[in-house]
Amino acid sequence: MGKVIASRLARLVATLLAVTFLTFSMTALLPGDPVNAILGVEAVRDPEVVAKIRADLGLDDPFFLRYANWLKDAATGDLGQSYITDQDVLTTITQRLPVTAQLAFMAIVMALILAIPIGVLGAYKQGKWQDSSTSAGVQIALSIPNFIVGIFLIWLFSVRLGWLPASNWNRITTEGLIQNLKTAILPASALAMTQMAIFSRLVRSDMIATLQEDYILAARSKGLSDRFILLRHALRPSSLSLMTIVGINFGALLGGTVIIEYLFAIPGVGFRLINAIFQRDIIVIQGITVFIATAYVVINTIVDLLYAVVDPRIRKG
Amino acid sequence: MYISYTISGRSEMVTRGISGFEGVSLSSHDSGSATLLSVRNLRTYFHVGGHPVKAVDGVSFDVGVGTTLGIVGESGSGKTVLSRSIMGINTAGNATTTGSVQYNGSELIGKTRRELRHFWGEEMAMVFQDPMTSLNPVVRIGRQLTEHLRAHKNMSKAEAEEVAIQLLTWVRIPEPKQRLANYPHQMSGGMRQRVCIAIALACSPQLLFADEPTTALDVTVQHQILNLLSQQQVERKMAMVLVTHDLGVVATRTDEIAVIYAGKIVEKAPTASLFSEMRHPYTQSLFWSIPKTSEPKHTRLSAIIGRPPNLAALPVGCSFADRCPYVQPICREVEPDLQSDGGHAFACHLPVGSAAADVALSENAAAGLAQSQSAAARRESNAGVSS
Repeated sequence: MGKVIASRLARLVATLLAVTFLTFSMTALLPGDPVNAILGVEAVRDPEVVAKIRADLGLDDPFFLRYANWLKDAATGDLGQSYITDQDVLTTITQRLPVTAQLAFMAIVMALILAIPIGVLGAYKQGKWQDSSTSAGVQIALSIPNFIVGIFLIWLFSVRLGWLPASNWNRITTEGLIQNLKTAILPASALAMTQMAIFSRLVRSDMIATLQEDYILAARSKGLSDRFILLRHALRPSSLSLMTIVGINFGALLGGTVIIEYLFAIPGVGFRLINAIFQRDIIVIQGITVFIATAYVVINTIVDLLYAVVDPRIRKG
Repeated sequence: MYISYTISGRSEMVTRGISGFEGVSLSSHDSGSATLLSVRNLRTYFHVGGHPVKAVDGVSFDVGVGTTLGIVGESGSGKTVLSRSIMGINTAGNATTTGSVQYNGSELIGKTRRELRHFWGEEMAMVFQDPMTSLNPVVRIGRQLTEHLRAHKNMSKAEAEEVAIQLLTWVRIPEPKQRLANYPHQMSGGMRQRVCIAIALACSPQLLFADEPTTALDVTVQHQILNLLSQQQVERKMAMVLVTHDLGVVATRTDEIAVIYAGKIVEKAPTASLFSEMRHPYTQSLFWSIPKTSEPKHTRLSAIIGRPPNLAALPVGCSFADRCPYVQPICREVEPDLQSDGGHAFACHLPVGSAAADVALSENAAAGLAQSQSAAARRESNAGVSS
């Protein structure tokens, strides 16, 4: 176990080095200058001021030196301050990442709760009306963009019914869980829709393959009920690729909920990341990237460990 | 009590089986015993494309309480589909099964799956061919042994586990209690098949289907598994349908044998009678294809020439005609009926041993038909050995 953790940590460090270096190079390659964003277009005309700021921020240093400096600070836990707002990057992340993580987590859980029964039903009734109608629904869910779903949900639950707020975010720490969920449920549902469609397709196709297995026929010949066979014999062997995709999509959601965060005015990390990219705020981009990449690696490590829980053949003696 | 065989033991085992049939007591075959299973005119067709694939095509037989029926045929002869059709566990949506299957007086064909479920596991059970795939790899042995006990017999978990330990002891698995926590991949193939037998026996079924139960196993284990099945069958007075491609397997372990070809029974007789006077050329070819230790070294294996026919496009007349050493024009025109000669039934125009068959064989051999020439040579060498 210690060996496994050590190798995972080594992999995490390697991933972080690669990801931060690539992010740093990408942002360096982008045209435009953070100084423009800091000073505004008027002030840029004053070359002296510009030169002073560039020197202060170390922007004139060679690329590798800048990356090395950032890396040195990051290793001591100092992710720096935003060029634009002067806000501490670590503070930004600790405030915003939990919001996005909660949204992503809720979306994945809601998607799974719906997708597993739908996928199992589709496989069990393959080719029958239950299958074709759920497949059609899933197809529709897959082809509607998140933000359209978001707008529809706002119209229905906020404008027409007035049950839930249309925007804003209540923090658990200050407003409590109920108030928090009131603001989280709509954006999470909008995100869950696509995930649900992807997951249920996966469960259906894996389940169809599993139901062809000899051990399913053997279980049937023992006189077990279909329900028992589906849930206690077929579901587990059918869930390995689902787990892989859940891990990948969870990671992707951490950086990919921008539009929904924007639509619902949620102070998440994605929103901040997009702003930082537009402003060439490399320090903020780097800091957020580190956290998202770490989350990715951690989530996928957890998924790897879960494989062994689901399939005993993967466990090592 | 178990003879251990070396790797070369397969042929030895087979010849022992065959040569030993005269000595086998057939007392368990009681022609007067009550009929447990009665199959009449059973047909299972798979509808693929335009023509139905006739996997089982008009099969009828009875199995008495506590007796064993052997069903013998090549791969693709329909024997696996037959046993699954009798139980009603065919899963393919494109299959239709017609005819009649009476189990203890109740008709099974036409029953819904929900109704059949009360027969499955409890009244009739099946041991599958490959223990590597017929146990769920992600479910512990203990649950696979107890889940149907709990469902059918309303046992508590503890009660069912007691029974499971007993079952594992019966099938000679050491440390049965510890084994309950194992997953299938932690066991060898022979052990897994023992577990499968224990699972099948759990609810004390009256009728056991064993569908090539040893084909996937190491030859050294095959014998043990077959003996275990026979022993449990006798002890429990359970009826058994033993499906196999190996005449050697059924020779000593059955009361009656049905030879199946292209979805039809071509010969059916009490075991002793079948071996002492084979009537169907296909049965004879199967018998000849078993290698014997009495033969000199490097004797060519005698395979049946040709392949089983396409079940979606069966020829007119006898399905075996193309591979038959005795084939005559009538065989390609008229399909022979299953005719009964006492308890011995066969479907052939020129049954083995008849004068017409002898004439046909020498004519065909002279005309250069390969299977007839090798059959004629075989007969000559057999005659040489026995004289």
